[in-house]
Amino acid sequence: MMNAGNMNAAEAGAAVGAKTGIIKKKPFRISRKKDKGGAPVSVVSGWTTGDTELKVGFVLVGIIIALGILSIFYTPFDVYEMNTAVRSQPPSLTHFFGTDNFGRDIFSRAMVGARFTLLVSGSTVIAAAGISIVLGLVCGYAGGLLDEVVMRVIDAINSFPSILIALVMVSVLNYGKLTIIPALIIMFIPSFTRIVRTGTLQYKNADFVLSNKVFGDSDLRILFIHILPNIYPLLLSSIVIGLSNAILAESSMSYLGLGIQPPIPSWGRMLKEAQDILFSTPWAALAPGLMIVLTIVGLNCIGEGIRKKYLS
Amino acid sequence: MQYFVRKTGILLLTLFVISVVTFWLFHIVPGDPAAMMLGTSASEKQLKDLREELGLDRPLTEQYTDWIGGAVHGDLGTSINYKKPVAELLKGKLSITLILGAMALALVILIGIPLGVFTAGRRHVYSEQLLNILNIFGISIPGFFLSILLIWIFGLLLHFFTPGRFITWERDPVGFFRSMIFPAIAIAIPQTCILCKYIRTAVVDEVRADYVRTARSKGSTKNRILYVHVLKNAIVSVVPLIGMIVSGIFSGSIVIEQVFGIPGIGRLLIASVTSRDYPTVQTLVMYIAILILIVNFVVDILIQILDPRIRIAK
Repeated sequence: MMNAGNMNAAEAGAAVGAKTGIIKKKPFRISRKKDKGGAPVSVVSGWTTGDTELKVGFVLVGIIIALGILSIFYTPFDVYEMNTAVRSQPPSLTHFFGTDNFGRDIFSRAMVGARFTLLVSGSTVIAAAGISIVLGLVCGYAGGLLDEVVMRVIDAINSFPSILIALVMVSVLNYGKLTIIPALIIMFIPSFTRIVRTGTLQYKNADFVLSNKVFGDSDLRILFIHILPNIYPLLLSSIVIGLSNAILAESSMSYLGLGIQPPIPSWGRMLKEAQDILFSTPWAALAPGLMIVLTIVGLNCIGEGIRKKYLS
Repeated sequence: MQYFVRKTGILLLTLFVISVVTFWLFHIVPGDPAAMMLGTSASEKQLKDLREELGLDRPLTEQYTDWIGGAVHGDLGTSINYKKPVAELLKGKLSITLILGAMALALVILIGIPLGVFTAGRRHVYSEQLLNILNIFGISIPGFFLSILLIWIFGLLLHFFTPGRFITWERDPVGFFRSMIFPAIAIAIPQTCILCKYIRTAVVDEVRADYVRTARSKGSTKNRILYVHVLKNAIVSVVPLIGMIVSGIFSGSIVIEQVFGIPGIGRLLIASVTSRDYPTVQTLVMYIAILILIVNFVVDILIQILDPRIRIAK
């Protein structure tokens, strides 16, 4: 079919001579526009294809990650130094987001906070995804009793408020500086596992899997080389959404005093400290709050973009 | 009926599994509660006495049956931190959290459903984009940051309520309402956005159905079609979400009670986690678990009643 189409276009092009290029491309373009129907499409195209979401998301997340990485080498002011001369300053050109009641530069602290929040949430989500991929593939592929038991447990965990699970884990694991990481990992395993399992079930009896079985591929090879790549788009979009949930959970836990421990700055605890001085220095909440919102908005945009672009 | 029995069976089984897991988690993993209560300076004799007093020297299965037996009779154990029975601690706190949750749920449903239908009916390009953006922000803003903004704007600038001061119902019903409404709003906003989005999708899907064309040709107005015919069908596909929303409201209220200083279950839970008061945490977790399981159970039954098609299909 493809060949025939190209041949026709080429023949037509040859016949009209100079206009070859236009005629060659035209049928393709017209048919695409017609399929989506009418003028408004061109206005919303970025939103309907998910391109705009992806762009907005990557820009926002990119800025935050860049700030986090930059904070390793450079921050406008020292993060831990308390300077009584500039206590409770409102936002200005020297202190972009003002200073807190100890005279610490809020923007610098929020930059460092970005680094730790992103590190903690990123590592938890990646670890959880790794465990879930294995668990989900095996459960979906093997089925039987193992699958039944694992899915029941996951159903039970899933019906709980996620923060409750994190709280239980933190209290049981005798929280130290990094207890938040295993707590969050356990929080994310259920949803990822469910997604991988559903994907595996979908492809388990697909023709290409069966034919590979006939060729004598091992189960492991089928799972990781043939089935897993098909689940990537779905998995990727849920990992990105998971990352935004991880940041939300991490900052909530830090806000409650159960996350990253002082003196390391983290967005959640900065907001807690800001709330205590809300009356005198309301701007202290601005930088960490905005950064959390923008990061999560960015991640949600990317997730939504991937879903629209590759899954519908 | 058979379905009802099966669901009840699953509910009881899940409750049993959760109670065993919770019990196991809080009795095996954290170490010796007696040592924790007495501190490092305690002698071997003191430890042994306290263990006997708390019943920690008996086999785990016996401790478990004791705990469950006690819980059924209203004895929920003793808080290490407050040295009081947990049941006494819960008194008053449970009702505050439930009222807060009910207010939030009411807001979510009363705003989310009409807004979803309304926006589905006006599918203009720009308004849709604006809604998309608002929705993403609504879902993305963390509850505690939203609360801080609300405290600043309505508490400190406009003086609608006094931040950090909770007024009980007995003292002043109006003040009580004032100190509860903003936390409820903070809890409700993210959930409202989620519900609104789902309702919108459901309505947009339903609009293509045959009965909508029939209603149109019969001469029904657009609003009548949307709010009477379509909404009825769209709601069925959204009912399963209620379980998720209730669980989200609980998550929200755990954090937001802390922000607004409301003396509810969430606050007690955080305080107990911070001070490692395991009996209290264990009881609270079981309480919340039971509440959420019951809500999910009711939702499952409700779907059956609302949509006869599902019953017939089975």
